[in-house]
Amino acid sequence: MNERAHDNETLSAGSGPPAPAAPSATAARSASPTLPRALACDRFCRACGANLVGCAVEREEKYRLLIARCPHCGAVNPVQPYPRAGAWAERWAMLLAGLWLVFLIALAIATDIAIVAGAFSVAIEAVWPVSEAIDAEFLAWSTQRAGGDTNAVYANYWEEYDAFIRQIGRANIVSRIGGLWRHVDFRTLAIAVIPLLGAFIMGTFWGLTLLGASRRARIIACAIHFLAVGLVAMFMTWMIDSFSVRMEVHTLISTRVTIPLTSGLLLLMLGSMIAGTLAGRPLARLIVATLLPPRLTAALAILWEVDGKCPPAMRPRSAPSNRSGSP
Amino acid sequence: MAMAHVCQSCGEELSRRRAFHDAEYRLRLVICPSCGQGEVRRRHPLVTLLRRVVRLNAALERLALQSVAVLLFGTLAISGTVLAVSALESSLHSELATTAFVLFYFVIVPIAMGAWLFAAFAHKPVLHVWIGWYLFMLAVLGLGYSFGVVIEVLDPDWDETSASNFRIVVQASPARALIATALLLLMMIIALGGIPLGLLARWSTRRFRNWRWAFRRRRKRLEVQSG
Repeated sequence: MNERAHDNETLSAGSGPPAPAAPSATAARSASPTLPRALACDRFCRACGANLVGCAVEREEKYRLLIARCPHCGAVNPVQPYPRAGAWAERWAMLLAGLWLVFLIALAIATDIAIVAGAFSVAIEAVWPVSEAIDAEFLAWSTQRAGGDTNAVYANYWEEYDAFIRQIGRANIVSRIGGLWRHVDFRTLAIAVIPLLGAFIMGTFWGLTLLGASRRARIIACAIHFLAVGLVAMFMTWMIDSFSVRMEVHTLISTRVTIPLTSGLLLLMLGSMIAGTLAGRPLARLIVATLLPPRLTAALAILWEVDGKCPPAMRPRSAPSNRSGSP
Repeated sequence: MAMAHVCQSCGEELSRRRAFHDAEYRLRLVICPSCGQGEVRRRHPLVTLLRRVVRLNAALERLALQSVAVLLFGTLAISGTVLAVSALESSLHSELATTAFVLFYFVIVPIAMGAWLFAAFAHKPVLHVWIGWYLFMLAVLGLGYSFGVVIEVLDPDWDETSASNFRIVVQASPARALIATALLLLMMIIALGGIPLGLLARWSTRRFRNWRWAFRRRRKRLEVQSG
């Protein structure tokens, strides 16, 4: 969160006419007027570390300082700005931001590759029996043609395969094996649970990384990625399969079975990733709020603030001056 | 050269003025000589950033430790349950039912787990934590069961010789599921014995924090007094 911008905001709220009042040790703190502004961004209590977001900004009367009192420990926290850091700090910040952007782009590409690879590997595993059925049909045909001599078939395997495709024809091959979809092993699709879980985890990661993105922006980003990468991957598969004549059968399998199956899996994975993107922040909030005490949760308050929620509050405790163990 | 520190009220340069320590607010302050406005000497943003990073690091460290503890106790409790179900099967793994096994999985692990649940989740209501942990372990067992069902669908001829203890539990048997649930409940009951240990851990942590806080405050005061 932009603490500096917030400082300016609180100051503009509290800036009034100069206060010529001399410091007085007897000034009544209870009479300090509360300004009509509250802290809207992160600022941690310097005594207990609680996040002061939402606390009212006051002008205390002793020194006429702009302060925010910690609701948990009662400590006084000044809300003054600080002079800007030098130009190099800005440059380093820009460099780091650029590096972070490059890292995120690389990670997005890696995510896409992983998801497409997951979908394709499941689809190829399911389609494998179709290739085996065609190969069995080819072996029966070529063995019969060679008079039962299988060694002769394997000696000129690819030439025989080309001859098989040309003589029988693709449509006839499909009809001889009883249709392509009949041989698809749909039980193998149960493996898709693993890439679906992976897509959900990746969605969770991106939901947490893209903290600035709204819900709609995250969904649109996921959909565009899937559409673009899925189309490119399927086009490339079709191109590779179409390189030679002997691959015609595989092209047939690709266009009629593998690609529709992969598209369906990609759609499922898109749904899983979007679910992960949407559930990521609530899940992270649940884990953090469960595993960490509120004192430490304050450092991760951004998880709540990005969605306009309040971070978990600490239990009120006595002020530091009343703590036991003081000398 | 010192960084400029300008009075927000009149613009007077305050960087050369000596700051004093206000005992009430515990802040280092400078009073503007021309208008009387008080100004706080704050730390440089880079120092503040470092402190935020340290605080974030502390939170992430604790999160990592808690995650490891969840994995450790979850794995131990569930593996203990699974092994006990295996041992209860008369034909398989009856040699597991030894004193050492029972002592480890049904005395040491539950008590350590109880101490951890009581000490590490002090910020949550005790009943919520214990019920939540029990349901979490049941859910993990349920997921294991689902995984087993997927494997059964994929490979009905799963080699019996490579069948693990896990398989025995995940096989669709209401009796086994009931035994596993009861064993987990038994573990949770034994875990109540870890509450005194958890209390001791909480008390010693609190005492240490108080001592550290007092020590630092004393050191700060000495620094302020010495100028």
